[in-house]
Amino acid sequence: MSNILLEENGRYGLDCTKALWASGAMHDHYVNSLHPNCLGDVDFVVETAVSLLLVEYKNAKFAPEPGESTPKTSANNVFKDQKFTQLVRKYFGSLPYLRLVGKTIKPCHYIFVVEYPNDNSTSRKQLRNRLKNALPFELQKQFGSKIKLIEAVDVVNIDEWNSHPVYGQFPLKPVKNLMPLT
Amino acid sequence: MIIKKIQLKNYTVFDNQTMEFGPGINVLIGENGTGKTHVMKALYSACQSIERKISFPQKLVATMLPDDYMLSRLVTRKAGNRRASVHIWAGDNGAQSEKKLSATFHGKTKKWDAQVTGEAGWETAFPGTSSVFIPAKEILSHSCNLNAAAEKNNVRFDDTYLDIINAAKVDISVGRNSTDKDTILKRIETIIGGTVFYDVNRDEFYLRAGNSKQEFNLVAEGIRKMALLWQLVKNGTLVKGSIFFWDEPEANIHPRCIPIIVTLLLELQARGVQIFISTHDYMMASYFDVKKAQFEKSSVLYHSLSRGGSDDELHYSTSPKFGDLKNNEIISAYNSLLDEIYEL
Repeated sequence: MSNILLEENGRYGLDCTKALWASGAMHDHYVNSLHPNCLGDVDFVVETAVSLLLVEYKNAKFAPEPGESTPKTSANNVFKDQKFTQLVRKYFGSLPYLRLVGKTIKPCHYIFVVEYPNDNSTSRKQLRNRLKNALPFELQKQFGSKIKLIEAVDVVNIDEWNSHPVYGQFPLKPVKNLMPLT
Repeated sequence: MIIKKIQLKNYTVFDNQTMEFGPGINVLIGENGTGKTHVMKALYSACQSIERKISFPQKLVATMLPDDYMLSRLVTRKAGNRRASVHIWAGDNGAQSEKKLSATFHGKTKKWDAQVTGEAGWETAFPGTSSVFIPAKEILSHSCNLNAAAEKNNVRFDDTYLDIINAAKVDISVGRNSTDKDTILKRIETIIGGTVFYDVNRDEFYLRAGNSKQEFNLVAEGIRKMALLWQLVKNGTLVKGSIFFWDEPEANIHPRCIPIIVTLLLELQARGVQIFISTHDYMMASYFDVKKAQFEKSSVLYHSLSRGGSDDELHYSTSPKFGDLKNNEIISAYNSLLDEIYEL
């Protein structure tokens, strides 16, 4: 049975049909039961046979559709400090959710799928490396145990996501016609 | 004049390569030895041969400087008797039909005695077109008597170095600037901290700030490069319809100046200057994508030359967007570095 999780604007869908388990409900759970802005949350969690993929998605390449407001994220502000801090908080804020749904055994991969004008793979890797420094890689090293809070972080665009040997099993596809930013 | 296309057959590193250019900024990228500068020098030689006293193949020799000034040495070094040719197409943005200039030669061609076609039509189609080539190495600080020494064979510099000195010595430093020119000059002055002054009697360039003047050789090399650009804008070398070649603009330039240079080049192309640059710099190449949106009229086309495959053949690709360019060796190199940093 197909299991397509829609991103917040309903423009793209993540096809999780091949996932062992998947959820796009973290945000709703938090909004319904926590004080606002207590915890950040990622858009999707996808469980494979060997790992958990925590997926945050942002697409700043498309103009708002009629009736839609301008996207909160402007073209390139994924690199601004405030947005960057939010990205980091989303990872940390997602960890309690994983515990509550009993998904704490498999290694966690945090993947930021992002599209912005004038992007390229080098700028994405620069963002990935900056994220690595802010996520708990160094922290977990200090304890030397096998328990890890995070296994890897990645920043990819939609093409890279879809062509990746693991991520590509869960294709991210448009679900309606989109108008690119001019 | 706008250069539209070049075809190189059995010429230096090129077996058979055609490249089509945009009317604005053309950014050539590729590893060392992939022929970026050879392309730019061939195009520059063609532009210079608009002047009736300059012949295309002779200028090719003068800019490439093969041993004994033998054009035959520019034939691809591979087995067999090869016939080399360089074909260049140019036109205007308007309705004027394209003109083609060609030079064909082989391993037994004497000196620069190539078979040339289209030169007369080329000269009459684009009279007075200005072209200038800034080489990767700064040369103005060594300008004193350099051209005289080169003429006497005391030193050996290719014509791009000698021509740029001559172009910079054209001194029209008095008089009012147009508003367009003023904007560009002021922008460069923020980097160089003054204006350029050529002392005819001493045959030397100086940087003038307020009441003081400083010898060019006492100024940082990056500043000297920008000062040269100031002089070329000031003296009218870079005007609408002219062709500007700049080999590795980023060399000796602090990264903080890169966005300013990119903006300057975009302003020049918006005023009708066709530009060819080669670069190894990620920031320089990326900044064109970032800054071009700020210009109502902008044309940027990236060209990649790379080697690959079983016989290490040359590959060419082109794209209006840096991130979409295939065989992008700058991106590949930076990504390898970033992956290594990530794995630390």
